[in-house]
Amino acid sequence: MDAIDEIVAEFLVESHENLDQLDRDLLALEQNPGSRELLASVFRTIHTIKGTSGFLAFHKLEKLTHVGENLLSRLRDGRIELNDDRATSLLKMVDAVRGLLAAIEATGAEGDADHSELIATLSALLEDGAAPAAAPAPAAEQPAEQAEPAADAEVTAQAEPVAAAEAADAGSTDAEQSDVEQVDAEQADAEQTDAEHDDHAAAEHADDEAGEQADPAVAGTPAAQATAAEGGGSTSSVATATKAKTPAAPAAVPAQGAPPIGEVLVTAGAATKDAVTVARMEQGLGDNRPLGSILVDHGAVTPAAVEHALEAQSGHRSVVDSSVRVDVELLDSLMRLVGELVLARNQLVSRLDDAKDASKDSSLARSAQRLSLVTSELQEQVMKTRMQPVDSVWSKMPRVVRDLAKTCGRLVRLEMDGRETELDRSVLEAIKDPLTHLVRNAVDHGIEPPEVRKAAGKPVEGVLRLRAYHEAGQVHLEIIDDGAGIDPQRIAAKALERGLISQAQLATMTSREIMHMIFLPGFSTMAAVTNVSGRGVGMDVVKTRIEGIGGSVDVSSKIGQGSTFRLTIPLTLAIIPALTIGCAQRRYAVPQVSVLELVRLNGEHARGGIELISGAPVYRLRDMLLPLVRLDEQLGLVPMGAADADGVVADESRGGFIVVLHAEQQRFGLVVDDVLDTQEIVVKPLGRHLKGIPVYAGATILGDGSVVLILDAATLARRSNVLNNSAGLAAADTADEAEVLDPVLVVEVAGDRRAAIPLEMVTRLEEIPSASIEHVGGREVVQYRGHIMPLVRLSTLLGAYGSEGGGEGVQLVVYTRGERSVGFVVERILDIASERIGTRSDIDDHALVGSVVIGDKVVELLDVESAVLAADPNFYTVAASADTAYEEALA
Amino acid sequence: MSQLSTFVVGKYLFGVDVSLVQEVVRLQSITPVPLAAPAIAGLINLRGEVLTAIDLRVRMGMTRSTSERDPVNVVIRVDDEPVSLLVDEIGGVLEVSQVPFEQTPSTVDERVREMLLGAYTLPDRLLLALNAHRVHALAEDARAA
Repeated sequence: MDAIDEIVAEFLVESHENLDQLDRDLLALEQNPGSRELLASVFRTIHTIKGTSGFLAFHKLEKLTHVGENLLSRLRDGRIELNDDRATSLLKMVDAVRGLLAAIEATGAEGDADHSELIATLSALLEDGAAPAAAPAPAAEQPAEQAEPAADAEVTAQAEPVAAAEAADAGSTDAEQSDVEQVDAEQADAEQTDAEHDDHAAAEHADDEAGEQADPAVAGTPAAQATAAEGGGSTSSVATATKAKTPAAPAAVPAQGAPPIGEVLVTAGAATKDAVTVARMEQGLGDNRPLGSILVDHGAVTPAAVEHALEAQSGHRSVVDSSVRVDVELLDSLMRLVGELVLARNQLVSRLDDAKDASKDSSLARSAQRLSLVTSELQEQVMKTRMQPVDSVWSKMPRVVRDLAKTCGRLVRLEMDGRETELDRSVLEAIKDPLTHLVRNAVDHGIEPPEVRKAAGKPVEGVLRLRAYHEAGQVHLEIIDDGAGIDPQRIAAKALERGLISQAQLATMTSREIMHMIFLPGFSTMAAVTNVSGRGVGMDVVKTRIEGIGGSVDVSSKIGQGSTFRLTIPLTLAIIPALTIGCAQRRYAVPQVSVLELVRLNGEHARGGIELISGAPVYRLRDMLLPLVRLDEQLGLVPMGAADADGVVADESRGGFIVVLHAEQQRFGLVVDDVLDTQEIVVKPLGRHLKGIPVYAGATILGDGSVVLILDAATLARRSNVLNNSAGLAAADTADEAEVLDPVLVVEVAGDRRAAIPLEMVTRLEEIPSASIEHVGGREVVQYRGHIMPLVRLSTLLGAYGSEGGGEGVQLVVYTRGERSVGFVVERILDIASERIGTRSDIDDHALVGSVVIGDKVVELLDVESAVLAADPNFYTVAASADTAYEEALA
Repeated sequence: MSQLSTFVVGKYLFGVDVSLVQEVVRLQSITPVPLAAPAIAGLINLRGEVLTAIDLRVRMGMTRSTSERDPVNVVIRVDDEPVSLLVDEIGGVLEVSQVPFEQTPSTVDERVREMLLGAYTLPDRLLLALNAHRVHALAEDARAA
């Protein structure tokens, strides 16, 4: 029973995959109705399902696929053409098959769905083509290469299937030889799967014509396989087993480019070249045994060596062997374990950091660093195993678009860019429905009916483009249509009508904000709700879902030209970079994707810098008002608004930080007591008692073993009403417009600490041998272009800790002004990034001007001036003079 | 349930079906969760797993413990989700199949009564049998309230 279950399970997995392929093939076929290759592929899939379902006694499935197969076989033979009706019916059949498979998966039985109508339709479509002649000559209509085998198979199948098996054995003279041949035959089978399938099909086809005989090919008896193999006798490797009598076909020369067996044996050192040559000559003289057997007979090689060589030879079909089917659950548990490993690594590293001054155990530190590297790599690789191309979701779209376009009377061409873009499967799962909804929406609401398009002077066929690409550690998905676009006026009118906003509110809204109202619950611009979109799931659900996984949705549109929906989605959900902050003696984590910048409040910039507008705290950040949210208030740790009774911030003298966050395209500042660090955290779900508190996105365990709550930026913003704050909105809008690119050089200082140097301050990048560094009065210098250039190690300057200078070469970033140069020693040159101006923050630290967010990491922005002065205190004062103190000292 | 794992909370001796108890640990570090129900003591790290800890004193309408000692976590598995109950002291496992069992008297505060299956009248004191599912669920109700 178990064995059967297992077979059924395998059948289901395989069939599901085949059906996806089938959908694609059928759609491709519509574009290219004459393609025999596609027809053959479709036929094969259906045939396989039919065969297996018959074997497993799924009679409904068998009956359904049988009719479909008949139709397909006629299509393939060119006796009928693929028209719209036939394509639709075939797609319906695929759906029905899918339904049956789902039922089998759920209940183990086929269920009681009735497909007689579909079967009747399919049969009717079969008949109304060319008159089905009683005995057409299939061989004649087959492609040339198939004609022969088909005829062959017909004869064999009708006459005596068993004879074929006998034929296969006929060449054997002793048991050993038969063994070797068996291997050959198997190998040939595997390599020729495709060819064999065709031959199966051909054999069966012939069989059909002969009038519903027994089905030897499907029954899968060795005899039938041998028959098929013989049918496919045009390929040489099969000949080893069955047609070995032909001396011209030397034993074991596989068709698909694998080296001959003799060569393999010689390469492996199992046989000498001479022995092989002799054996080959014998073959040429009429010995019809395989080369391996001859060699064994001669005592030139051992039978084991031959077998080994055959295996090695078959190693060529590595496409099949190099991938393994793995249970998703196993991957999930692997991911969990890696998560634990990351935690343990973090713990170890934090312990070491604590101990680094007290006891510098360098070998321990080195091991830890190595462990750290390996862990990161492992994490990356395991993540990769969970990655799937976005195509696995997109592949369903052509069908969705086709059906929908037919229903709505639209002409739509679907284009897809970046199918191979990979996402974590948990993320893919989560975006499936929102994506489908957006696609449906674009076809239904976006692209106009052909006559409207024609009237507007557009091509009648609308184009729907799906784009996917990676950027800055996130995946961007775009759904672009060239339809009517979204009219802000209409949206505004609708929102007023629905009472979602008031006239007064509308007056203050930007067009962007109006556009975003389509994501409000209860909003639908279609006058009539079609059965396509507007059924339950709306844009608000799309938005909620995408935000639920830490992504965001944006929309832009030009009236008459189309709309673009842009989804920004994290690569994975399980391990994310996060900023750890302190508030009221507790630590919390904020996902780095939400963090724009950090602003320190100290000295005169302390909380006195926070101003109040009728009780709502704001901060002037680069002359823009940033609405603030106090974390301690939001978490109920201090009473709300306690500080601002008189319009004065009571705890003015207290320091702190503003973490500038963005949520739903708006910026706001989260006031916290402390900013600790950035690290990769493993997101752990909260128990059910806490699931209902939306402020928390989960929890994580930090390096010291303590549990820390992860805050959800969007919820914090929503709770405190920041999102309706027009100051925040204005700021966000301005920030978007003011996005100026300011390139910086990103370097690794030590460990994973990074620094950014404005590119305008970089004259050259150099690599010098570490031996060339000389010391002058406690300073490191190097001879560079005829001058002596002082060096400054950024790791020392920034107080970073890590191993450095261990390598042969030293990476230098050279800054030259006039005659004088200074070299900054860095661990590694990483990248040139374009910093968003708006992401600079003002951390007053030694040799740092602040920090910027590049990609998903906070990178310190180097204060080049003070770094230069650290290397050469006189750099700016005597820049003109060439004879420096160093040169004197060196002389 | 003939075997109860027992623990002391305030003046009372409670028991919970021994098969529900996963383990008993003494942990010092509890991360409080602002905005959660008062009975939620916070989150604990149990060998890399984040568990919710319910303060049984608060749950049972008593005052929060002022003890200097680290609370004892009785980790029970309810509906396949582990949750920790903070108790004052852990007792032993008692065989109760021979002990007379009484329904909880109706005079007991309803909120507390809901969480009790009844009482075993031990010779020297009462052993209150906890309804683990209710303790678990109540924490949820309290949050919703």
